[in-house]
Amino acid sequence: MIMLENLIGGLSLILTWQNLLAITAGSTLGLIVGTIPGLSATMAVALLLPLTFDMEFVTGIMLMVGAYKGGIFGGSILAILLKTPGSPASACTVFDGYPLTRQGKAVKALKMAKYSSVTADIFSDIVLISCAAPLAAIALRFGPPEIAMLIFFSLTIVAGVAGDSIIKGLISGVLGILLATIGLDPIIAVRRFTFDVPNLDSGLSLVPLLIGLFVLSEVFVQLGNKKNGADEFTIPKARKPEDNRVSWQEFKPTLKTIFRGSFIGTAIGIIPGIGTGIASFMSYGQAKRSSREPDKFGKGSLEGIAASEAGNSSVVGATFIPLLALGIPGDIITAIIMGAFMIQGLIPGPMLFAEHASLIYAIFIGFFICDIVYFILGAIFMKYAGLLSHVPRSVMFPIVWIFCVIGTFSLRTSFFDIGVMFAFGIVGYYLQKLGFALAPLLIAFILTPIGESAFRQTLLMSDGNLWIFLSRPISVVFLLMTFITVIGIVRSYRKTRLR
Amino acid sequence: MKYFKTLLCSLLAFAFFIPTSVLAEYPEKPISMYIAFGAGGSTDSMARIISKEIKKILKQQVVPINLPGGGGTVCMTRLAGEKADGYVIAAALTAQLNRIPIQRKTAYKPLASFTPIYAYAAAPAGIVTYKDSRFNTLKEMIDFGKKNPGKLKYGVGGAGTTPDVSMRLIEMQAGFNWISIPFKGSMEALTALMGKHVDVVASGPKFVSMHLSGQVRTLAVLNDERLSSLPDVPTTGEQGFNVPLKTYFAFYAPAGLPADRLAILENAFAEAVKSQKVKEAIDKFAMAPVDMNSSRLSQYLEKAWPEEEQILKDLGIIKKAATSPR
Repeated sequence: MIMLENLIGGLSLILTWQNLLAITAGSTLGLIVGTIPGLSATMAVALLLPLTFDMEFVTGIMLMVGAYKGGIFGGSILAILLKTPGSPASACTVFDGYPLTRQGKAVKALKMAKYSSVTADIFSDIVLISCAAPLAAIALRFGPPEIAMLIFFSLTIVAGVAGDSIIKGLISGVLGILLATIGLDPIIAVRRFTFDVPNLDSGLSLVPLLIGLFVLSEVFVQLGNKKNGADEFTIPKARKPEDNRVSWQEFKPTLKTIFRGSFIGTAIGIIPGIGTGIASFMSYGQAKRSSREPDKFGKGSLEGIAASEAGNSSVVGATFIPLLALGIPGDIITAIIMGAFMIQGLIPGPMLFAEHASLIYAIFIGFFICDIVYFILGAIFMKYAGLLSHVPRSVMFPIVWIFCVIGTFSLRTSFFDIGVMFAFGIVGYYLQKLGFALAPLLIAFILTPIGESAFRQTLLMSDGNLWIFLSRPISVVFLLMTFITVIGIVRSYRKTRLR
Repeated sequence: MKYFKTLLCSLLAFAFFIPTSVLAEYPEKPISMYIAFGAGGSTDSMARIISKEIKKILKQQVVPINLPGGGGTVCMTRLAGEKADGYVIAAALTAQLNRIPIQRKTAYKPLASFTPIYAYAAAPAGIVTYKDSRFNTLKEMIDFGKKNPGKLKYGVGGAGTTPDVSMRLIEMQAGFNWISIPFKGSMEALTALMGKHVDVVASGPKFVSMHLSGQVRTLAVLNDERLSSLPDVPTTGEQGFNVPLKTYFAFYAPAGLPADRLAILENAFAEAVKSQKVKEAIDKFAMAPVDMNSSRLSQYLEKAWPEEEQILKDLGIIKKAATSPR
């Protein structure tokens, strides 16, 4: 009964034109900002925060949630169309989205991305509403030893995206680990590889690195392809009407992947401090391993898109679980949103549930409205994205280039970051030319700082004794999973070599 | 005719130039406000709220720009290289001008590269434990620590931060040992505390909200006086410890800011901080308000450097200051 009462209270709070406008405006901004390389969902939410200071609480939160959800999805649009991901979360969508675009099935890929994103979003929203408190309690059991082993396990993702040569994939991963050690070390704040450059104290920023490696290097590659036929200069058009839609027969087999991806994304989202980038890669790796057609992955598999998109979208709802249940933000974006709570004098946590239940329920219902709104907005967006296919690449890529520079600069208004972006554009170009996959580098770069801190914190806790990892059930489980996965990888690698 | 046109043009050009250089009053264009930390934290939120008030007072746009990284030193390095014309200011802490440069070399000269403008509040810090912990007071915890050397683990938001150094001072004064486990920010440390992976956490402002939502027990606040939002929690001083470290939220400009512009900014900040909105926000973040104008803040910074250096030397954290103050 109490639940119903809160639900009705929440409905009356959320269903105002201001809130619906805020959701629409937020989602639109998120979609646009997410689409532009270098501008991310984080930036959209940070931009909106000061505007919420003078707003109704629910309206302000919905504005930011809309931008968050829209921004994560927006990142995938150019990933599919131009092979230029807008954020680390969508870097994984490139693998299958772009090959589909080359086959003239861009709209099909975009639709698949949207369907799987929305399904996954709804999944994690339901989890958030139905069992936030117990799940948050489980998330708390992830201390440094558990997180260290989780990251250890996550590094096995590298094998799934290593490309043709696993050795080269591993080298690329190690390069990522090395790059991640630049800056102040996480435990005693000593400088490493900074060469007295103050800008390197905080290490290389993720966004310039990502944009350089994935977007700028692609522009370079396209420049090099000039001699190819005229066909290369625009996005291929659909040959058949089926290429522009996803039929139920195509969608149904991906459902399993979507749910697996949603589960992984939700689990990653609940544990504070891991982030969206990893979820999509993890979901992709698992989907590839358990798929009936693993060979299709990387060549335009709808399952691949489903896995990546379900993985990154389901993180969103889940990051609100520790925020609302415990007052712990799960990632940077929820940390910004927590600022909006504090300004309004509302402290996220169990007390908020008890004292302002209808507010919380209003936000919950708002999450679903967001899903619907960006499903509709996505359709409009895609119509225009389809128009992009008429734009010659010689026009498109210079524009992308400009946005890379603007986006990177706007992060911290830093010329240094632009330099980093260009450097990694060149690095990415040559790595690709030499047959090194770029994804392992990115994954290792994202995982290393989290893993290193957790590992060293663990050793401080245990006074240098490694047995601590075997004395805690969750870390043992991850350690075993790592071994099983590595053995599986080695066996399948041997098999392909024997062939 | 052609000659006339040229003349007209040059006259027009002059007409445009003269007012800006001679007649205009500061501030005649938007002021950039660098923020030393990322969006959503207390420094950021407060800076944005205050900048809105400044905008009303000076009738000029104030543009906040987040420059996080390096514990706030990335932002201060940038500020040190800007022109001292009053159009670039920064919102940071006092820690970027003493605690951090004493421990690691910074590209700027902490006491020579900046013009302090105004400090409006002291950052609350506290020692907290999980809510069903066996420790009810700091003394109980220290007694346990003395009987079980090396057993107690405390989490902090980073090595060498104010809470971390405070914990080391308590360790030295009480004469026992505990293990410091640095996390990335107070929030991560508090998360580990709630999962009982550490026994106690020394935290910056973030602990207040977790205390108010009933999820942690605060054993002591690391301030001179009790916090108005936590009136029942004793200070470390009341419990017999001398922990003099302080961190203030402050605004700075590059060194050499002309006195008239400094006066304008100083007054604007003093007025902004007295506004209802800012007062409410200070209250919500449980900060202890202070009123330090440019000269008081400068005096404090001059005095704090040798004191902090001595404390860090006594604790054996440093042999000598890593940066020369001038």
